Amino acid sequence: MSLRHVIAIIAMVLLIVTLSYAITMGAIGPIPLFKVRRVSEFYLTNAFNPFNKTISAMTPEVVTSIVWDYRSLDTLFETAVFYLAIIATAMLYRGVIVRKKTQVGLSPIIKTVTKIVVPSIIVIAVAVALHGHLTPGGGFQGGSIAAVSFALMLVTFSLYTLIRIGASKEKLLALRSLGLLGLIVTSIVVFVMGKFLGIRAFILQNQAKPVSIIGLPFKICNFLISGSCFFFNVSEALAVFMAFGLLFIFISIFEEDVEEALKRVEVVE
Amino acid sequence: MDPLFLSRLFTMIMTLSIIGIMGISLYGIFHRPSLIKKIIALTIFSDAANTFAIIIGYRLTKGYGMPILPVVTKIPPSTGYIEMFKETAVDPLPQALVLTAIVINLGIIAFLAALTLQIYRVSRTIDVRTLAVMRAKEEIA
Amino acid sequence: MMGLFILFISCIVSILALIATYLAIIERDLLRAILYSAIQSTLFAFLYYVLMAPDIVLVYIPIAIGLYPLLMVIIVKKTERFEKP
Repeated sequence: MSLRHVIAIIAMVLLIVTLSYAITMGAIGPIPLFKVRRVSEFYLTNAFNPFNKTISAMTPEVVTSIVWDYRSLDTLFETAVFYLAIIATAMLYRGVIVRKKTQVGLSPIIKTVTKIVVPSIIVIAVAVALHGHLTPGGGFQGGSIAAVSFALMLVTFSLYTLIRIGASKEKLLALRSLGLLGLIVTSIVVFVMGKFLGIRAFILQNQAKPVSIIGLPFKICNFLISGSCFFFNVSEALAVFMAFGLLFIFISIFEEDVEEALKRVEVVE
Repeated sequence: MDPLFLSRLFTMIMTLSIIGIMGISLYGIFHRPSLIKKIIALTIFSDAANTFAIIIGYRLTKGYGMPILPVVTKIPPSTGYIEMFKETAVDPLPQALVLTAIVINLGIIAFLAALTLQIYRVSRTIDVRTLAVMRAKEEIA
Repeated sequence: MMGLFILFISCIVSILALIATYLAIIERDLLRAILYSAIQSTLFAFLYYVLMAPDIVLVYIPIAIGLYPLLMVIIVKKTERFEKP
């Protein structure tokens, strides 16, 4: 037990005691609460309010209406940060060529069970992504569940079998760009419509607002689609699914291919 | 016993254990020499921070009853239903912020994992102290 | 009174999560540390369900119980398994 460790443990104990004392004495207010905060009362009253259609989002699910309508700029920046993380990982693997090999994978029992389970996981993921504006669910949830099925396939059959079937890095990147394009188009469609018709409109607009009278429809033939929330959910699910697939392909490339690329870079310099 | 005192006590114990998890995982980030252990401790730390935000967003209704989910279940709703919904639903704002935070953390952890692999390929070690010694020798030479 | 019962259950679950994370940080075998961290994530997912946050549960279960341990096990397989003292 050197002096460094003793000082570290004393510092940690001091941090825990100070924060606990501050919270017990009411630094963040009394918890648990009996009334929600005033901002949340606004969101709860106006997420689905047919009496006041100019400030309502017409979405029965309040968390989806906050993420994609009332605070959609936060989601825009979060998508940008995720995109930068994928680009940074792809930059580490510059110059790596994945050669074709034959790999065996795991035993036939596991392969048969995986063939039965993977389609059901993908069906559940699509169902969760499609009804995100009616019950708890949405784009991020559906994309993550679908990514688990991709990781399962990658471990059971090997990476090289998947590449031989047809899933390559470039195809996944193209599909991810398609999903992001869907996000961009949904966010500026009301603005472009306003420009053509001469009415004032804003970007990321869902329903009609008090200063602009144009918006997306929230009901199509008695099906509730809540304007732009539905299209945002579908595009985001596709983009997140492809992003996770790309990350797993990068992590599981064989060491020999990457070492060869490293040697080539050192020789050139 | 007094129900108000009991509810405050249980919430205090929950909050204190979450702060304890934060303290232990901070110790793990600073004082464990393996890079992979640091990444595991970082995921535990960010999970504890998200849980803290959601604990703050909980509420109790009058008479210490359970709240309901923030989902409108009667379409089209009447004015009385909206009033009842406002009085008994859980706070939806921390859930929306935590959703964003979880996805950003995943991107960062995946990038850190790829960086760790690259460090191992170049210098064949994962121990932070050995890496510091190697780096010092390189700067002298 | 149901609200008090819910708070009592979540109080016990968070104390168990504290024990699991202490075991995860102290452990020297990295595969076991990943397993303890997955146990802690399962307890947190139960906590999110009890505290009425279903959107978070649907994101947290695939990511923190499915994808993080898989990623870490691949990294441990490609580098070293034991941590030097």
